[in-house]
This record gives sequence, C-alpha cells and structure tokens, in this order.
Amino acid sequence: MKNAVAEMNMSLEADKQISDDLDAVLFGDGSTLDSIGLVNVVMAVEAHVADETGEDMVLASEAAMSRKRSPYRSLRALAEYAVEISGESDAAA
Amino acid sequence: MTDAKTIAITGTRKGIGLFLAETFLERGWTGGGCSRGAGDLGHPNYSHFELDVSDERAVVKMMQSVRRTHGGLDALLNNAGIASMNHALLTPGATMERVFQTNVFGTFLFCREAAKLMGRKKFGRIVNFATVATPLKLEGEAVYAASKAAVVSLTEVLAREVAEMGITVNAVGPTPVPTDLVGAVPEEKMTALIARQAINRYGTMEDVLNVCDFFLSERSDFVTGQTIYLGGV
Repeated sequence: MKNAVAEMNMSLEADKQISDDLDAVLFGDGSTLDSIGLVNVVMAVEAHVADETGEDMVLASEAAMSRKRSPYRSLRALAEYAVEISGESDAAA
Repeated sequence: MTDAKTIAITGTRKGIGLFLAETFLERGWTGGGCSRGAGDLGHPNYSHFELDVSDERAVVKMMQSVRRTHGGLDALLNNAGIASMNHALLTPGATMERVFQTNVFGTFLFCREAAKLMGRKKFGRIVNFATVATPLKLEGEAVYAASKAAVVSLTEVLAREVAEMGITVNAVGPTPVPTDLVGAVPEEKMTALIARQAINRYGTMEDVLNVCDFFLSERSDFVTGQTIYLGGV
C-alpha cells in the first residue's frame, strides 16, 4: 500500500499529496483525491499487490462499491479488502 | 513510424489480428496477443495467451503478465471478434450471448485493464474494432451490427473517461476483408454490400493497418472517441 502511495505522490503536487498513514481518510470527506485520483490509487495498488504477492486481483467490484463501509475509505480498509478477496482470486484462477 | 513500443492485440491466431501482430513485431514492437486456441506466431518478443476474451480473470492475468514482461503497455488493438450472419428470426439467444460476450464484454475488459496500465505512464492508444455492418444496417447481421454499435458507444464514452490519463480510444470500421469472418457469406451478398461503399472493392489488411497507424501515432494525441469507417461508408 505504501509503495503504491509513494508512486502516486511522485506525480502529485505538494498540496495534493496522499498520506501513507493507514488510517487517514483516503477517499471521501477530508481527502484530497478526486475520482480519477482514486482510480489511479486503485490501479497502483492492484499492480503492487500483483508484484509483491503474485496475485492478480481487481479491487473494484459492484460488491465493493455498494458496501456501507467503503473499502476505499482508508488504506487499511483497502488492504483488508484485498486480503478478503484474495481467496476468491485463488479459487477463480 | 514512431519508436518501438509495447502492444497487446486480441484475436491473433489468424486473419487481421495475425497480420497486425506480425507487422508490429517486424517493426520491432514487443507485446502479447491472445486467442481461444494456441497461436502459431513464434517470435521472441511476443507472448501468446490462450483465453476467452470475455473471461475477466484471464484478461486481468494476461495484462498483468504483459506488464511484468514488457514493463507496461502503450497500445491495444481490440481486434478479436465473431460474427453471426442469420435472419434475426432464426437467431437463437445463445448466439446473441456468444457474440456480445466476445465483441462487447471482451472489448470492454481489455480496454479497462489496458487503461489501468497506460494510466500509470500517462500515455496510451486504444483501437477498437467496429464494422460497416452497423452504419449500413445490413440485413442478416442484426446481432453482429448491434454488438459493434455497442463497441462504438463504449469507444466514445471511454475516450472521455480516460482522456486526462493521456489515453486515446478510437475505432476502425473495416469493410469486408477476405478472411474467415466473411467466408461463409454468399458471393452475391458481398457484391451487393460492396456496391454500397463509396469505393467499390474489398478492404485489405493494409487498409485496416493504415487507420491503426494513424490512431497509434504519437501525433494523434488530439484524436479520440472517433470511429473511422473504411471504403467511404
């Protein structure tokens, strides 16, 4: 997660940097990310997860989007969501 | 032509897809292609993936593999497609599902995964494959024409969604090119179809390549969301 954030921050202006605090607001009220920014974070996280674990996963799904507690609210939530669906990816692979 | 780049091409076992793959490899490009069966194209800079383009998991795996092998992706040619030529009243629902799965779902999944890779480099060129059957409203091709109409619509909307990532999305609409796809159509039908074009001849694979080259060019960075039909349709 932190690697993905570091990669994102390289191309973001100083006042738009994303915190790599796992519990900071990632997307929603108080976040500097717009919707395209979130897309970029999710893309980067998918690629880093694939590189570090060898597992190709899609972190965007209807189930994820419609949850009451969004998996995109913080890096920790996104990491937990990735762990949660990693078993599903194994089953489908 | 621009410097060698990385490209993904769908439907590379035969026909236009194979021709395009061979052409870009000859130019020094690297990349991957796919088809439902094994591919004959053996080239050190080419990786072949056996998959169904509507299999989401398989598409994700292929594109991640292309990223690992080639370090990213510059261009995608969404060539894979199947046709169904039959009167609408004689077309089973299963045929419609099959055609839409390959032509629409497959195109969408590859666009999505390609754009993810391209977005990280703020550069990308996506070319989808439409058909003149859509604007010509060809009888007997309701399902095929409708599936490609969906591809045009996807192209236009995606172009807007990924524009700020430096990615262009366009489509080429070939006229009939003598490949397996049109092989089953009676000669008189083909003659009548070609008579409706402004330029009355079969298309060639080079005609399709020419439009792809235009869309892929770095200089075409202000061209997106467009469909170019060949033959003056």
